[in-house]
Amino acid sequence: MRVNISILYKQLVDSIAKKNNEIFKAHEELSTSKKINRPSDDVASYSKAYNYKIKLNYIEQFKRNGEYADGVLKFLETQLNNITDNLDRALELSILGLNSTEDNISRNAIGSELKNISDYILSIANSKYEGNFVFSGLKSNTEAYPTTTSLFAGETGKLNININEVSSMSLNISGDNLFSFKHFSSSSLITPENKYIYYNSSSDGSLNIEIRDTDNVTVLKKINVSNVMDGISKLSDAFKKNDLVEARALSEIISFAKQQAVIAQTEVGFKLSRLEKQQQALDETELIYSKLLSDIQDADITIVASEIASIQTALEALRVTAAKVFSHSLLDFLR
Amino acid sequence: MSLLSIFDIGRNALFANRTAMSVTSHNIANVNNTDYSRQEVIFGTETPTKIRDGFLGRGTTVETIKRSYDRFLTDMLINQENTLGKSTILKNILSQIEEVFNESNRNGLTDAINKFFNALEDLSTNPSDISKRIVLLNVADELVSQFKTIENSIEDITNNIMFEISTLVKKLNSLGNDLSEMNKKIAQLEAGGNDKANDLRDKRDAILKELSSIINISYYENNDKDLVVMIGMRNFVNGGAFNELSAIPTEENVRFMLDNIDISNKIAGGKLNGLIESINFIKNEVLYKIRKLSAGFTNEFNIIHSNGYNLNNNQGVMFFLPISNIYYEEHSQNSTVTSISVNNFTDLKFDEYYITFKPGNIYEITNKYNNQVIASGNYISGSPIIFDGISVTITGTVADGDSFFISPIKNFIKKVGINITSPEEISLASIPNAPSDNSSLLNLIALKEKKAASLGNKNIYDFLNETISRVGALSASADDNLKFEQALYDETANKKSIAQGVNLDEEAVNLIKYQRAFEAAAKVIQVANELYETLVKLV
Repeated sequence: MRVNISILYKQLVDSIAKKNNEIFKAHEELSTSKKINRPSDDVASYSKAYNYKIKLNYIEQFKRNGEYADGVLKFLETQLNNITDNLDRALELSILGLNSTEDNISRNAIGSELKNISDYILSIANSKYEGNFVFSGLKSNTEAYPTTTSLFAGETGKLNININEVSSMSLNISGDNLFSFKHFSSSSLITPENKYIYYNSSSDGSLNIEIRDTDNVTVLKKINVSNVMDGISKLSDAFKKNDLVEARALSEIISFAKQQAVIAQTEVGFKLSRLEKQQQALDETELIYSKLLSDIQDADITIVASEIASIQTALEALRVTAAKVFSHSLLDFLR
Repeated sequence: MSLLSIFDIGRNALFANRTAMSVTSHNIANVNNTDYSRQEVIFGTETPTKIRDGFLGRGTTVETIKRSYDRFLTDMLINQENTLGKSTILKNILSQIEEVFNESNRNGLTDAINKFFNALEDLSTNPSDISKRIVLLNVADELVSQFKTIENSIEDITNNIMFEISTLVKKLNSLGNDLSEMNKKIAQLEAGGNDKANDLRDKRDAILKELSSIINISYYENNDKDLVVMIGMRNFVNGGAFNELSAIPTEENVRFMLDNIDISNKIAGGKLNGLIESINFIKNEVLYKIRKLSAGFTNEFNIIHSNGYNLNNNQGVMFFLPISNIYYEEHSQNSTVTSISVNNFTDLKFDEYYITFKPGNIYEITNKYNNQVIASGNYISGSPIIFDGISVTITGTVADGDSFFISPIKNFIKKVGINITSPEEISLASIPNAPSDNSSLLNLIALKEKKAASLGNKNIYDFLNETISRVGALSASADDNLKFEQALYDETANKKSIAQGVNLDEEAVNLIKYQRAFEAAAKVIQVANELYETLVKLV
């Protein structure tokens, strides 16, 4: 083979260029810490890495949603605790007031405290979280119960948020489930004075109470209670005017309200614990995907560094031998 | 027998060896010229004279200067220039396109889409929150601008390609001109004799190589002198004449004319072919997919959004600017499009269509990408034709073969924007008067997983992932191809160099050889001179 000098030159130049290329790639891996710096480096892995990154983004977003939900639910929990505490006190007071040994003056005092409780529960019903009235349902820009005697002014409906890829959680409690009477089943009772009391919930959420005389026919009084706070307020009036029958009729409302509140509390408690588990699960999944992503795309620094070292050695050897080969030709030796 | 004949023999030897030394130094001077083929001197004897004792030789002469030329290797190399040229172009362009979509080390379209859906999710926890609504408007702006940036970058690449095509065609024509001039010179120099114009032939081969790298050519030598080069079966260079290749850009791509014949579909190799294939790939796959994605997604979003109620209790508000300005091309003498608009947003499929006319005033609507006929019917001038959500009205007389090209996506990205000016206008509720209702918003969020018909039944992320992977795969294989072609080319170039190249050591030996022979010939003359003097002294 007549290998001539231009072939040797070309070979040297090509080899050095190849080695330089390898060094360039290795440097890129070092500076970005990634094996894959463009899709063509490894198309299948790039595609997988792409999907992992999307998943990780989802997980982060769900965690954010979960944190927000946690804040809202904890706030609701606090408010519900306030309500049940106050309802407990109201029940205590009403039992005390109905006790025949009490006299007018103490019943007056009981009435006053009950009025305070009614006002306080009203303020809780209209409490706000991050600018929204929390018990107004979907009409978060209006008060749930603008006055003690108003009907529910919000919009019943669920605010659902996504807590993971397949499930959502509702974040609100509609005020009418706590403070209105739509779940009050029709019933009746007989007072110690042998008067008959009939309860019927109306379609607008208010409660119709009918007090009949001992003959169970004559209607003595009809009371329409708009909501729980209204009920407690009317109970306070009844104690103040010493009307025990009316007081007896109205005190049923407190147990009902307590029931509703406890149901809501259980729901919130359950949601909070579900959220906690959910966040843990998200953390674990995040770890898994992060690891998968890292395995695919991260460069192993030690491997890259040793690659660079071996390329450097090869490059040096090339340069040294080339220098020796090209330094002489026959023309140098002919006289 | 005359004494003077020894002088002649000596003189012939001197000339011959001096010529040989010139040729050797010519070789040495051209040692780095890759197009040069080594020349060697062929010695022969002068015609002998008859003398009483037999035939007496009269010295040496240079018969010819031979060029060591391997036809097979040269042809192979010229062919490989062609494939190498195409592979080089393809690799360059595909890696540029890949870079436009590469999000390994920077934030791009996928990141913008992520941020968009994240803002929607954040809004879902508190839909009436104005600051969160403002965030949504901001990330929506970013998303729109990402689409525009990508389209711009790709169009920049396309513009560069078109410019490169016109530059290459100019180069091609200039080479063709040079080749025809070279043909004339060679014909002149070689006229009448048997000697070859070696250096000019080397130069001609070099021009041929460069031509081949640009476009696929077929060539042959006729009359042993003229090189005829053909492109697409038409004469490009024929002896001293050459025809210009012209490139005429059209809407769809470029038309190549040689000798008044359209040879566009005969261009099968070389850089030009690489450029044309790249443009086709970009227009029919890359731009098509990105435009389809942006138009399809914003349309689905708009449909859900306009069903919802906003904080002003209004329905029917579009979030993104809807499709308008549907692009069309007319290829008809006597009819024209008098109106074109969206007929039903839900029916839009975001493909590109041809409306072609057949004999008997029948129209056929074909989908450009799967060649399926999606509708046909009788043409009535002025009556709207409705298909895939689009309504087109054509007025005038149509002839068989007339066609119209309709594209709802071609101008979409350029015109897209956010239709909403204030955060209260964002519609997230399904019922009026319910600012905390996020049920319509949840439907919007569900779009990220929804397999859309306009995206070939894939969701946005899968569609984008597939598009990017395809570009990446093509870029990787173009890279591999180039390495392979380059290795092959280098092999052949080496073989050619071995067969035709100059070896300095060999030439050094030749130099000494001819120098010694020259010295010996000079010695012969000196001896002849002394003999002559001796003879003269005798008398």
